[in-house]
Amino acid sequence: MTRLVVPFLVGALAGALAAVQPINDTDVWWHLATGRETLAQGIVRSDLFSWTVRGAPVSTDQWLGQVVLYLSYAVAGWWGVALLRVVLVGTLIAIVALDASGRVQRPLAVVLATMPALLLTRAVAVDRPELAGFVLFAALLYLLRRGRAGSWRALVACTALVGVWANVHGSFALGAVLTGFVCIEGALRDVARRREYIAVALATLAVTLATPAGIATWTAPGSHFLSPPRDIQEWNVVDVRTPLGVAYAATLALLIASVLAGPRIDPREAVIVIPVAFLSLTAARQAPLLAIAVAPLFAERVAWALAFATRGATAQISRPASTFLAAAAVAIAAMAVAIAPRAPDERAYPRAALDSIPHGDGLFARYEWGGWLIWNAPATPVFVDGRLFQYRGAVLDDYQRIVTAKQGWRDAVTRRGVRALLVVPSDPVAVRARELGWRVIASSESFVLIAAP
Amino acid sequence: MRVSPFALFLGVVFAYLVTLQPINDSDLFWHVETGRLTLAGDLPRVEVFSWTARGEPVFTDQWLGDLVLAVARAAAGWPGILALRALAVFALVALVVDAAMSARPRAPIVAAAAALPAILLSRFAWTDRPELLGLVCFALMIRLLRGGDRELLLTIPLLFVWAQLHGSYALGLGLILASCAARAIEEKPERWRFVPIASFAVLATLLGPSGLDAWTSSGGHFLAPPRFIAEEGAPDARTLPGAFFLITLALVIATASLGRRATLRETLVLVPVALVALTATRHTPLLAIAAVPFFASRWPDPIAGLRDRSPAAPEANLGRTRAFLIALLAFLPIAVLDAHVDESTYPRAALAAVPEGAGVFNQYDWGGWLLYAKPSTPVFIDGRLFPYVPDVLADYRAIVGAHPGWESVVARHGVKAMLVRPSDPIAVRATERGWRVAFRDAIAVVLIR
Repeated sequence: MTRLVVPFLVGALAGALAAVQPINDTDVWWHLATGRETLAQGIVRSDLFSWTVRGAPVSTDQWLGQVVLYLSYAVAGWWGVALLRVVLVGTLIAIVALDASGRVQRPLAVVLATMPALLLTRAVAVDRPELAGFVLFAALLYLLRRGRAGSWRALVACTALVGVWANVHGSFALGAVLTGFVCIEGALRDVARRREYIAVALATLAVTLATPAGIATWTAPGSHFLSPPRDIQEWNVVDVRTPLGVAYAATLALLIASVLAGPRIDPREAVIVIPVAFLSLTAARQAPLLAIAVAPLFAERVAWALAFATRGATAQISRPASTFLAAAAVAIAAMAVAIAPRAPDERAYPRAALDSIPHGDGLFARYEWGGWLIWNAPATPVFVDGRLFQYRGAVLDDYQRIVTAKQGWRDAVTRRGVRALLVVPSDPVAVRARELGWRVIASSESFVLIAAP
Repeated sequence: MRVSPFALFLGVVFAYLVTLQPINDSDLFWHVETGRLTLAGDLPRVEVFSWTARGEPVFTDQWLGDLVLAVARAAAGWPGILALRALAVFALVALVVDAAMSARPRAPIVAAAAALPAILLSRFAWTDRPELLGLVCFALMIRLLRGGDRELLLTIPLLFVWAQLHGSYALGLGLILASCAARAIEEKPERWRFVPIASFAVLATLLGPSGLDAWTSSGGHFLAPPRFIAEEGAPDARTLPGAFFLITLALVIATASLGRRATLRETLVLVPVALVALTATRHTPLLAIAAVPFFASRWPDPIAGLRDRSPAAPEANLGRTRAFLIALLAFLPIAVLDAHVDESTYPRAALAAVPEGAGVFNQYDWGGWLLYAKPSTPVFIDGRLFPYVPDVLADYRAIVGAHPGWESVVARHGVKAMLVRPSDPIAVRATERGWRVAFRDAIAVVLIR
């Protein structure tokens, strides 16, 4: 129990921090809508929500995550959605701490080593299947390390986990690749278990095809990796001037210092850390992966430093202290459940415009409002929303051209058959449309609804 | 400090290769013009080239770099600029490769492999600016910091010169201080001797025209890099420099993980340089350069078992080889004879339609060229950037993007003409709002109120 109490405590703390966050992710709406449709009519394989790409094939790589998200809403409303987030974040950090505690006896080292992950995952504590992907990533690393240490069951569990992951979120590709790397390293250096490693690697690859999309499951992660949509902030490169960037840079610096100055790290660890470090540099949303992956390494280094500082004095948690900490963790978890939000924060959305929005095709709305409109105005298909990849090319080009009133924007409005514009008053198209005398249907400080001629 | 013939050879090769690159960097022109004024005895301390920030204080942290460029231009025209670039690249590559060779003598394959990331990444900075000279200084600094006390002392005059050439000297100061700290920790006897060395290093950075203000430019670039400029953006793995950088960083981590433990000195160089390299694309070559001796000393030699174990060549042979390479370098002027500015992206044909005097709004990318090509027309903005942040830059973006309220910004500044690209939003909107087209071609349009 002593070994579990620290992970439980930090997990509860992380969950409590996640509970404070409002429900305001721009993508939660279309995830919920897709989950609802999946339960109602089966896997959604073509677009249902827009009028610009209606019927076009859509990615199904998150169907299970969307179903789970919708079920949490169906059971307990928005509180259920928030509770799901609390549970996922708490589980994520608890697994990271548990993984870190596998090699060190010092609780403080475990806590300190988990801090980078706690800080960096704040940015991905969102109400989307993506968060579940991070949890599965942490769980996979835990299993891979134990599998590589000799546990056959842990290795098999990796395959099963990746199989589930491939239906939850497109980040499964990282899990499959890492499993492959670990198995290759194991096969090369642990000859006695070579067949096991080869079997697990092949089985893991095969299980990623056990999805509604089959081999096309790899399309979304491949696209995101090779061609990330840089105009979306979370897909942009890590900027060390931002709080997330500072935390990430510090984590990377600690990693480099750890590997440079400390004892040579085991190749079993290097084969995990190096690819994850590489991936974490490619986009801001990948940054937390590094902190999750290096927690055990940090725990070792911190434990060494603490032992040096305390001249080797041991630091174990006594049974009474352990009981107290476990009770504290339970209390914190209960508090997290109690304070989790029960309604979404809709201040950024044009709720007051809903009654004036025309039904049917023809509404051009801001990208950030697309998902919210899908959920709140189902009778009005959207021009574009956060699902992004199905709009890439002509639709996104026209969206940018219209919203920024660039050359040819009026032709795009006519060609597309736009009937109304729902935008922010300071958007260039709003300014231009009013200059041209287009009729304003409704307006407020935060939105304007304009009828196209 | 002896430089290996192999390093000299590669330096000569790349010196010749870089002469194939055209002269077209938009910042070269304002560097040369600033250097020209300095050469005439009038170091610009206030803004003199624009009409929007006239009289505002400007940085003098690159005054020596600007002067060197102006001297090269004055002495030999554009061939002089090209020759300067070639010599700088020669020095940079030779220093980088020599750093690898000194860490791994008699293993040229390993040395070349270790130097490859540095050559590939620094390639994007082989431009006609003091920045390139700053990279040369950095490479020399890395080389010296691996030496003993004598080499450490030499870093001080190097830092002094560097602080006059380019704002990147700040990293050099940081590395000297880190190196002094590492040596003081490792060498207990007489560790006090590093205190004056560190102190003189700090002092060396203040002995310039700007004094204490010398830190403003470096600090500004580091803390608030202008992200809309591509080279100041964070490294992006989808771009070639970003991909090279990520591979280099992965190699550092892999080498550290799997190879011999790094010394404290190596750690205190690589970690801060890696952090700085993360901040902007233009800083990415620094990590590759700093990591060269680290790579070279730890990477396996693929032909170690096959290598000829004959004794080293006599000194006389090495001397003849070096003399040959130096002589080869002497033929460099032939490669630069036909140097000229590639103006294919600049609006030369539009200049006749651009009115003289204040009031012209120009494209940012053409500002530096414009103040060289038409000095009678002060610019609205150019690549020097910092005299214009934040207000003039914000106004520039409002006008060129035809943002709501752009006309009031134009009126406030008193813009009477615009020199922009036909595809710029303002080019479309201004004509809709009654501005007359005085000139138009595929590159530029001149609009008159």
